[in-house]
Amino acid sequence: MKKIFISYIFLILFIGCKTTKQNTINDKTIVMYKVSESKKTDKPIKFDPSFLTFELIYDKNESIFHLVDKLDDNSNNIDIKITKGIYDGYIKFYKNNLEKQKFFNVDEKGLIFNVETDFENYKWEINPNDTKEISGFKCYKATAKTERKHNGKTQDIFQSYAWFTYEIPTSFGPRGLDGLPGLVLEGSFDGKKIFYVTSINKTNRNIEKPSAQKTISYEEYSNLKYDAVLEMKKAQQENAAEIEQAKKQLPKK
Amino acid sequence: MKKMIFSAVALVAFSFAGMANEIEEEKIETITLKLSCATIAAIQTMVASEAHCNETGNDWDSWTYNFVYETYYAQCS
Repeated sequence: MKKIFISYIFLILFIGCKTTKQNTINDKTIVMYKVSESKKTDKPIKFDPSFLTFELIYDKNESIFHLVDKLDDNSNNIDIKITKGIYDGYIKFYKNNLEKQKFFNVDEKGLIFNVETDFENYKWEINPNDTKEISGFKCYKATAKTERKHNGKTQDIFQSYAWFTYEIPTSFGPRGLDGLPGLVLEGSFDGKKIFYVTSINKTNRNIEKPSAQKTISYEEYSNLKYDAVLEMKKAQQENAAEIEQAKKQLPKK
Repeated sequence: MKKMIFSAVALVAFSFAGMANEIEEEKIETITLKLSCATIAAIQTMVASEAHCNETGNDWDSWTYNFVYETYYAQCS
């Protein structure tokens, strides 16, 4: 009788564990996004982003967003490399609500950084009257002003926006566009490059927290980037005469 | 500074009006310039940026512009 009782307890525990594991698996969602320019055009685009697909995988606590790289990253096609870079294809965005952690992972000249941003870096304003339907979900528009600074001085200001739905209650979104009371189905960091949803499914894929060789703050990263911009401008000034001479040889449009 | 050979081919057409018959001659002139990678990358980026702006109506922010410049520069050097 005692043996039967112990076996029964083990059976209950086994079923319990299995159910919990299955629930965990089913709790993860994968959202696929494409990216386009804000202004639609019929003209062919040199750096056409239509071949790029991004994925957002999230569960209750954390999310990861990055490019699904189907092409060989070592491809010598310079246009492909540039297109990926323009549309943030080399950046992974990670967020963890439990640890109140938000960062993006980026390769800068062979050195991999995790760049920590404020957990709530967007000060969203939700307009309850600005709505539209995306993939069958009623979405609301949220807007936020985003600034980039160099040594404390504002260099660039962007009008970020996000279309989110209360019908999918998670705070995650594409390209770090998050912190809203629903999944972001469409959004733009700079008002120019728009990430838009193409599918939403359950998944058993893992959310892999990106590792890096160095962790820095967004402020430090921003200073690095603007230092590089200044270096480029300096090189162009030094070569101004040569550039002007070479420009004259370019074919006229 | 490392130099690269940059060749531009210019097509120069000369027309000669003959007394008896008209003869049209074409002369291909090759202009060879020695340019630094910084210059080549700067020009490639400028051309790409202008094309992108014309095609999409959107310009690049300074980080994107710099990324494109550095990609062209890396390809050159």
